Order: sequence, then C-alpha cells, then structure tokens
Amino acid sequence: MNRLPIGFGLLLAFQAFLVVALWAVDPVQYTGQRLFGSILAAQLVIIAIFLHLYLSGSEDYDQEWVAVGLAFIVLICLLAYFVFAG
Amino acid sequence: MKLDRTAAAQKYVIHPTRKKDMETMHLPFPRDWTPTNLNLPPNWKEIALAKLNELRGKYRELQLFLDICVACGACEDKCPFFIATNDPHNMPVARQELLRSVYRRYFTTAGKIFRGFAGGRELDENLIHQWYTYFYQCSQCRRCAVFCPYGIDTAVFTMAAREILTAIGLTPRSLTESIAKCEVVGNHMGMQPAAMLNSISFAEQEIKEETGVDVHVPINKKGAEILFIAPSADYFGEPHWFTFKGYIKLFHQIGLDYTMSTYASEGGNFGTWLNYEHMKKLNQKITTEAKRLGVKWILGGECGHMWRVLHGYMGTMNVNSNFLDEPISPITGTHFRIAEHSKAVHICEFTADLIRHQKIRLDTTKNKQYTVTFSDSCNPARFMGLIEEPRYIIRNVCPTYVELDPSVNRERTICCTAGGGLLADETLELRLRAIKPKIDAIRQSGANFLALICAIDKAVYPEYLKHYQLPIQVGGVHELVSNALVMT
Amino acid sequence: MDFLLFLIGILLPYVTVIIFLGGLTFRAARWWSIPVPTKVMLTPAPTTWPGVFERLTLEFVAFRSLTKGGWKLWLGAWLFHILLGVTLLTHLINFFDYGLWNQIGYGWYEGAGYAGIIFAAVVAFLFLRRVVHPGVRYISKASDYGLLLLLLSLILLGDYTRSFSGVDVSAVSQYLNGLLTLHPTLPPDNPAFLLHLLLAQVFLMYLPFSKVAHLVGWIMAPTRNQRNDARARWHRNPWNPVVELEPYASYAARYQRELEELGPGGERQ
Repeated sequence: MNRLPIGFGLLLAFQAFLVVALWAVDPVQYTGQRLFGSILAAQLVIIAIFLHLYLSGSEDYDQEWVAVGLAFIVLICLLAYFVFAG
Repeated sequence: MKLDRTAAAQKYVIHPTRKKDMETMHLPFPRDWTPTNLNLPPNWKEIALAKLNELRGKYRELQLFLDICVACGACEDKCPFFIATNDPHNMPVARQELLRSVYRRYFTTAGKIFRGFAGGRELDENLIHQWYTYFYQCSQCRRCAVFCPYGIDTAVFTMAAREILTAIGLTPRSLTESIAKCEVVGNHMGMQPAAMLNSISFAEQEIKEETGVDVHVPINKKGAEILFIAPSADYFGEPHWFTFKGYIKLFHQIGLDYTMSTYASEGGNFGTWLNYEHMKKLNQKITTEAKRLGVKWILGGECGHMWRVLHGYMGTMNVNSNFLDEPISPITGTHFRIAEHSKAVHICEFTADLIRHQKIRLDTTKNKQYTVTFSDSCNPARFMGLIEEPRYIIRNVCPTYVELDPSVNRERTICCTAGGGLLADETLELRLRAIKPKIDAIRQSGANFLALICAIDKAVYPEYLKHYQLPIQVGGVHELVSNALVMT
Repeated sequence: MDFLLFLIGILLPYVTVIIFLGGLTFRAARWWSIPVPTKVMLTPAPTTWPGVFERLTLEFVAFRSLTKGGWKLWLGAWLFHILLGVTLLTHLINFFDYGLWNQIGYGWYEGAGYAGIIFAAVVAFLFLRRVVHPGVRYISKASDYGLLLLLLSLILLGDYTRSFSGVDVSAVSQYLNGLLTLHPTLPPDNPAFLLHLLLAQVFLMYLPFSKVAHLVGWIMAPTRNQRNDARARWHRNPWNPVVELEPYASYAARYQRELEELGPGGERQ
C-alpha cells in the first residue's frame, strides 16, 4: 500500500517542523534541552525500528501500521505538550 | 486484511438431512426442508431461546465466554475458514457474535433495553439461516483459542449452536447419515460384520504375501487383554489401509493379546459434531463392548475425533471407578498412568513406549526413500497434547524427517479443515482454499511423504495434494512403522 | 458548589465501591455457580496444579497467548496493562504514603509521569486500531469505542491534573484517607481533579457490567486452567444424562448370520 510511506513521510516532516520550531525558540538557554534531545533521539530510533519491521515483515496488515503511526504522532504531541508547555 | 462482505461463505452451505433419516435418528421435527426454505416449526423461537438458556446454565465455559470477549481481534485471521473466504462471519469472534448477540438481546439488561446499540440481535429466520451456514463452517478445530488471551474456544459456541439447531430440526445430511449408520451397523461406513471380516482377512493375506508371516486378527474375542479400536476408514480406505496393516503386523510381532470388535468397529465419534447425547451414545458402544468382552484396557488407533472423545469426554461420560483394569503394557510393563481412569491408550503412546524399551527391531533403511514430514491434527494437538510421540516414532523408523513451519503446525496447526462435520462434497472448494497455508508449508519443507495420525486427514490430504499438484505420498505413522518393522 | 463536592467526593465514592465490589462478586459468583461438565483444556497443557499456576502466571505477566499472533496487538495490550499497573501503584503510593517518594527517589516519580503520557498514547493506538482495522471495526460495538474513549479522557485528565492543575497531592491524600477511615471530608476544590475523580468513578461503576470484568474472569477459563489429566482422573459432570443404547443381544440377533461366519459364538479367536 502506498499510504504508509506517505504517512511516515508526514510524521517525519512533522517532527522536523517540531525540531525547527523549538530551535527557533533558542533552546540553547533552555534547561530541558538534554531531555528534549534524548526524547527526539529515542523516538527517531523507534521510528527506524518500525520502518525496519514493516519493510521486512511478511504481513500485509497495513491498517494496523497506520494506527501505530498515528498513535506515535499522538505520543509526540502529548510529550511535547506535557514536557515543554509547563 | 480485506473483508469480503458479499457473504462469500454462503456458497458452501452444507446439505440438509433428509426427512427419512431424521425419523430414523429420532431427531426433532422430521420434515422436508432446505437451507433457503427452512420450514421451521411454529414455536421454534421459544425452543431455541429456552435451549440457549439451558446451555448457558450447564456449561460454565459458554457463559464465561459469552461475557468475557473483549473484541480485541487477536483471533480474526487465524481461522482457516476465514482465510478461505474472507467472509467476516467466519472470523472466530464474529462467529461467536452470531450466538452472543442473541444472548445479549434476550438475556442481558443492556441488550433488552438498547438492543442493537448494545450488540443485541433479533432471533429471526435470517439469523437462523446464518447460524446454519456459519456454525457448519467451523470444524471445531480450536485454532482460534490458541491466540485468544483468555482461551475463548469457538468450538464451545459451535457445539452450543448446533445443539440449538438440532433442537429446532436443522441438521446436516453428511453428519446424520454417518451417525445413523454408526448407531445401527457399528461404523460410519455402514459396513456390516461380514464386510469387516472380509477386509481384515484380505489384509492378513496381503501381509502373508509380502512378508511370509501368518498374521491373525481376533475379532469379538472374549477375555482378550486389550480391545483395539480403529476408525473404520482404517480397514476400508486408502491410504489408511497400509496403516491398518501396520497395526496388525506390529501386534503380531510383539505377540499382543488383543481383539477387535464388530459392534464397536468405529473409533471416530461423529456424535461430537451434533450434541452431547449422540456423542455419549457412540462412546457408550465402546465402553459397553469393552465390559462385555472382559478386556483389561482399550487401545485406540490413529484417529483424531475418536481421541477427542476418548481423551477428554469418555472419562466423564461413560467411565466410573471400576471400569476395566489399569493399563499396563504387557510387553514393557509400563504403567500408562496418563490413562489411569479412562483406561484408553493411544497407539502412538504404546508404540513409542515399545521403541523406547527397544522391544521391536526396526530397519530404518526401508524408509530411506522418504523425506518425511508430520502434520499435526487438531484433536491430538490441541485436545490431547499428543505432539511429541508421533515425531519420536517417525524419527526412529525413518532416516530423514523434516519439520513443518511451526506457525501452521504443532499447537497452531491448520488441520485438514474437514473435521467437525465439514467432510462433504459441497465444502470441497472451501476446504481447498482453507488448507492453502498448510500446503505452502508442506511445499516449503521439501518432503515427499506426509505422515498423519488422523483418519479424516488421510482421506482428504491426497485430494488436496493432487489439486495443488504436489507429488507427495500420504500415509499414517504406523505405515512407516510397518515398513521398518523387522518381522520374525 | 459544596453540594457538588459532596456528591462527587463523598456520596459517589461509597456508592462506587459498593457497586464495584458487589458487581464483580456477583459476576464471579454467577460464573462459579455453573458447572464445568467436561474437560476442555487447550493442549499442550500442564498436568499438575503448579504447572497450571505457571501457565496462568505467564499469561498474566507476559500475555503469552498474544505473542503467538501479531506482535503489534501484543505490544499494545501488554503495554496498556503494564502502564495501568504502574499508574495504580503510583496512585496508591501518592495517596496513602506520599512521603515514600523520598525513599524511592524523585526520578521514579518523574518516570511515572511519563508512564502516564505513554499510557495515553497506547490507549490512543488501541482506539485508532479499532477504527482503522477493518476486522476489528466489524466486531466493535458502541461500548468498545466508548470504554476506550472513557479511559483516554481519564488518563489525559490524570496527566493534566498531575502536571498543570496545581493540585495539592497531600490534600488529596488526606481526603482519601478520610474516605477510607469512614470520616469523609470534602475533596480539594480542583476542577481537573474532580473531573478525573468523577470519570474514574463512572468507569469503576460500569466495570462489573462490561467486558472489563475479564479482570476476574480470565482466570476461570477452563481452556487455560484445567490440567491435562482427562484420562487420569475422574472429572464428574453433575448433569451427565443417561442415554439409551441398543443392547448387544438385539444387535447380535440382527447380524446373527454374519457373526456366525466369524466363528462359534460370533467370536474369531
């Protein structure tokens, strides 16, 4: 299915936007930047795992992967809100 | 995953019992009917609901499973019949929902008030037609239960629904014909004692020609030590025939004091597919015969449905504490503690014990032309736990053994898809589609001999393999034993 | 406002506890009162009670049966229940011995906060899966979606209460201790906390009458908790019916001629 690479692409684009936006807020003085960095690194690793599993797996249940991807976006949004908006 | 909502499975509706057979078997409401024109008795709805209420008060697992399913979808794509049709009602959870929705609508407060919103459905003729279609597209193989977090067993629902359908006069022909023959004649084939004698004598002759040894099979012999029960296909069908010769050669070689029986000439208990009463009746033939002949214990051949009953149900239905004697192998002295109550031992357990104690000489080179693989059948694997013994035997009689992909074998096995009353011509296409994952695994294994321990498997796999153009020989485990056995 | 505080904070909790405990007991008792007529264990199954205990423990701790199917569902379900456990544990510590955190370490408290956020994401995954995956959507009813949305709101409210609502945890702890010792006081006047409390109570009241009663039901499934000793022990069926069978004499009479062919007395020695 073609929807999935598009979905992943949107996810990565959203994350890139998040990174740029946070950098634009000049996070060098922000005390939580290490935390932010580690969260971003962790989720990029997780995305890499998902991508590897999807491409190497033999199942064709793309719909469940869509749910995974969307939930991941939800997770990022929640983390962004709860960790950085406080 | 694609769902085919065009009611794809409706193409494979099983044929109804004829009026004559309904009368012979004393089934309720004998009449002429077809799946599209059910011709139900006027008070069918009351009978059906009363029966459902009765069943949920008799079987804890039914009431529990009606309540506890969380609709997680783990079981969805695991049923071979869903794989075959992609019909959403063939998803185990949706098949259960056909019954559960009626339970909700009539027996739960939320269902009575909110009806469809709470998952309740009116019990009308349309739903009964669906019951007749889909509950006779479940082979009660229990594969779904392996993947369910609580072990919810769709076979429990199928058995309950079939009891209800029987109570309102809806039964399939293939099923009731076999059961009727078994009750009257003694076996599903309807072969009378003379035919059984002819068949067995012919086997003895063939063995004499092949090995020069005079094998003699006692029948109806009072006071023998062991009653041997085999599925009737074993002495009438092919490739079962070679397995049967394997049994009797083995028994002769070890000097076993056994007997067969014409009254209880059928191992396979097809009553499990209809209701508890018929299952008990067919099993009672075996237990009363064992008592009449005065044997010490029962040895059962390679048959799946026989063992579902002999293992799980016989001890409850027909055996009390002073039934027969403790099963002790007369050759090795092993006490089969696993069968202390029911006194029924599986031939693979018996033979594996013989091999372990080196009581028979085996020449594995006689099977060197075969690369053997073993396909687990549903009842031995998921109801008995008989997974290692057949493999142990095969490894000791054949030089080359390969395992199939475990995701469709062992406890997750896709069996022959022809159990549970589905063995009928009208379901052939359905079964061919359903068996495809197993066929793929067999093709991948590179085997040229498929060993099986179930009579229905042996009946249907040759046809499947021919359809899928795989030149693989099909046979029983004791056929391989027969080849390797050194007769003295 | 005081009346609302009274309703949500004092009246409802006691009602909730009665309905929750009473409902679950009723459910379990109803299942328990029905007999298990036959052996229906799903094999390979253990033959001893310690084996069954091990099987059920593996099931409880690792969701073993789900590992045999698709791993995404396993991960979602397992993480959900693990995080639920973490949340409940954190709640218990927070409300009954807040000082314990000093001994456990504040890092764990922070970690529990993140657990709550990931919990919300996992519930979101389960809900999205139910919407997006055709098979699961086909079988889902209103209550399936509703329960997940209820849980999601509950978790998000909990996360918000913890992080941004400015609630005083020690005041909450005092309030809950008051409820426990049957000397109830009005709860803290924090809207997020009150809403969280209300939704939690609604959920607990609904629980015994829904599929969430699998809380007590999972352990009763005969396919998992029976020993594979069907041929070794007598499993009694209390309603085992009597069936009539054609006696041997009548069978022998019908096939007399054929049985004679076998040998004298219908026996082939």
